Amino acid sequence: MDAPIRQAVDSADTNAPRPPAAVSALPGDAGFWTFIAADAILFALLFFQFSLDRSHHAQVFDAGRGELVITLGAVNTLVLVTSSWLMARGVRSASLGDIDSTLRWITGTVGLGGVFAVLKITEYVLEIRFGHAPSTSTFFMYYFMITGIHLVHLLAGVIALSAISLRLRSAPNYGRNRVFLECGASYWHLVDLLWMFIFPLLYLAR
Amino acid sequence: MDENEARLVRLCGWSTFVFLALFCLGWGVLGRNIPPYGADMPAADLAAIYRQHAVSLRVGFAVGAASTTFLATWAIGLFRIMVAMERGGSLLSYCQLIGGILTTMVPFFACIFWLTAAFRPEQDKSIIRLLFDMGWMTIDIGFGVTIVQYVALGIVALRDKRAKPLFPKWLAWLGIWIGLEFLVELIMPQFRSGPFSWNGLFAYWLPFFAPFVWMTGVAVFMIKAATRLNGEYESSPAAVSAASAS
Repeated sequence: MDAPIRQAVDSADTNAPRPPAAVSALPGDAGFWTFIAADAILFALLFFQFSLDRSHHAQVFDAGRGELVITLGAVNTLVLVTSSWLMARGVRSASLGDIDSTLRWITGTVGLGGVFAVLKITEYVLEIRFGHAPSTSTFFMYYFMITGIHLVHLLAGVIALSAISLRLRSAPNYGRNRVFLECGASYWHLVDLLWMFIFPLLYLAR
Repeated sequence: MDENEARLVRLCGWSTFVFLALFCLGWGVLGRNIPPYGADMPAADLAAIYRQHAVSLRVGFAVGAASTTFLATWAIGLFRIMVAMERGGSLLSYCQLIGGILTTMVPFFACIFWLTAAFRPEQDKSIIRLLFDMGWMTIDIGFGVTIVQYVALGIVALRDKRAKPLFPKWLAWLGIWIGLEFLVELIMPQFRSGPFSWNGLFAYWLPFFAPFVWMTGVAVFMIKAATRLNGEYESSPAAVSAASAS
């Protein structure tokens, strides 16, 4: 084996930080951002339809909003922002070659994702006990659909990050996992960002 | 793939456009499904429409059902390209093929239900509405198998190690997203009006027209890929030695 090849193989097997082969303007796989954009458009359309119907049925929407448990929504906002911060720290640790820390940060992110899901389901149970269901009013149809589609996204994120975590555990190497890690983190930030729109739109906006 | 096979695969690529044109004309225009009648339409109104337009509806749904043949040839052509692309076996290529072939049965049976409603439009209005509902349930809920096709194609396209991949990564990711977005259809049966009902934004406009646009993109790159795979074959040692032996 000649020297340059050996050197390349050696550097691939260490955890040392190394610059990506080609510097991309976007983290992760550039094509993945099409997925993110398409998803963002889906939610933009959901928010648009919600706002359009709210302008037609202002009273129904105001009454519905009054029935929501704002505290749970606010706590969940904090939970998701914190989880996003933990994820960003994880990506940072990995780029510095500290895969063990990355695994801890991802565990924290996934854990908070679980907390969000538990609180959300608690909220659903409470709303149903109060007598509100998707069929009760246009507002509650949107409430259950928008937060439900978001919850499915969050659970998909939890599964994706757990899979990435397992990948990192079996091959603790930044170079081989960078694209997966950055795609997973970008997706998780999208889940967080969408909630930043959902919470004010459904729970707060008058 | 040799020149003859590449030509056949390109034809399969072109068949995508034949499907889209015939299906939109038959199911969409003549079948009066763009935009569709809502689930909240009274049975008497629906029956009146079926009686008034019976002839064009029959032509439309017969053409729509038959057009799915060209959806099948699309999946078969894609399969041949994917077999050449897929690394480590051909399982995902088969997932795409079988998912794609089963998908053809979804608009096929939906069109057959609507065609049956238009066949004897003088019959009881409730039966016309029953068949009409069955058509929508079939075409909307049947999307499940299509997820397998789109996701399998997406994964194989993303794992293509060529410097310039046969299918661009954004197209692969868009296909995976469209496939997963079909899941929203599962809540359609809960609604008879609004954006989640079968004529709403999230159960009709998005899940029907996003794939149509995406399929056009896939067909274009499929036609190019056949030419490129033929070029790779012509310059491979196997082809050169076969040519010198003959």
